Amino acid sequence: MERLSEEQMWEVIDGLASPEILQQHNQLLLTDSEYKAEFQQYAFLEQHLLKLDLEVPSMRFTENVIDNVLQIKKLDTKKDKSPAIYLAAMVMLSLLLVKLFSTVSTPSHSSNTVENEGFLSLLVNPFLINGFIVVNVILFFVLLDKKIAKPFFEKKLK
Amino acid sequence: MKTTEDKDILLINRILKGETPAYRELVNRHKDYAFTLAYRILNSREDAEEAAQDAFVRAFNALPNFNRESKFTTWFYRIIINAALTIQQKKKIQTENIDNPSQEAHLLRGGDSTENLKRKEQRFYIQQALKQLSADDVTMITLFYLKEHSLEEIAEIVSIETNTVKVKLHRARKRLADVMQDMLKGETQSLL
Repeated sequence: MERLSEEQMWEVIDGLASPEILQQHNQLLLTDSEYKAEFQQYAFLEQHLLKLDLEVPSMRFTENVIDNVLQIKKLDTKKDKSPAIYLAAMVMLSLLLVKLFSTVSTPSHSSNTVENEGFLSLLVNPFLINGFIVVNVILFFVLLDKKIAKPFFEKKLK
Repeated sequence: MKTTEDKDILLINRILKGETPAYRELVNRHKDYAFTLAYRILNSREDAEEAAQDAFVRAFNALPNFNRESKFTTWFYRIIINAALTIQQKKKIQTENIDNPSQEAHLLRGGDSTENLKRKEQRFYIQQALKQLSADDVTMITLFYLKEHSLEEIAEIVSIETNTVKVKLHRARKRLADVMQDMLKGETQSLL
């Protein structure tokens, strides 16, 4: 009788063989001692592979993972702070620029130059400048509270 | 009753809502398998620990991108295999070739019951034989036997066709049988 290929033998072991193959296999087990020895070797291996135990990592494994995760989260939070600081700096800078601009442009306003009669003269009026300063100051304090004061006091309370 | 997958998804939802401690639970559920898979590929407990931890950290960062169409484990085991292979490449690990494994096996035979002894010896030889296989072969065998993944699931994990998995698994087992036969020579029968 024709022998089964190794692949077919594994199919028998995995329970995936067709009824014809199974019948052929059973016949071979009875008649072919060499086949029987080879099949037993694979079956032996299968039996022990199924009994393979899981390895256990160190006791601190989970803690190490969580520490790493928290460290990364901390770094991300630090990264998040930089745009806030940048934004606050921009607010401060724009405040200074507006103040400076209004101071410098006030004398020329009186000289009635072509530039000041145009678009800039519309911007440079005390009402708009003061309004802009007030908005900037509010924005600055909101940012200061949200990004610096609040995290600081939350940390203190913990 | 909730399945393992359902529990994983519930934990993932909690993690994504910002509940980082839920990740501890997810790690505890899968750490042994993650470590075993990495250990089988790397043959070093220290490196396997590094690979498995790295995989868990990578998985945490990639969790928002996890596609819930597949099981968490299917997605995660791919990360472990990649992490282990990266470490293997980085360190160019040399497999520990034991010149004469039967000598070490004899050391196991001290003051133990016959049955226990036999089991210890069998495990020892299988583990030694696994160390001599390629990472690809070991991955196939570990995925198939340790959690009894279906061929389709293995195909998804390693991103190849199911039929290719079947062929690779047959070849891996054949190579394992050959290595064991070579190692044991005449001892196979005594272990049967």
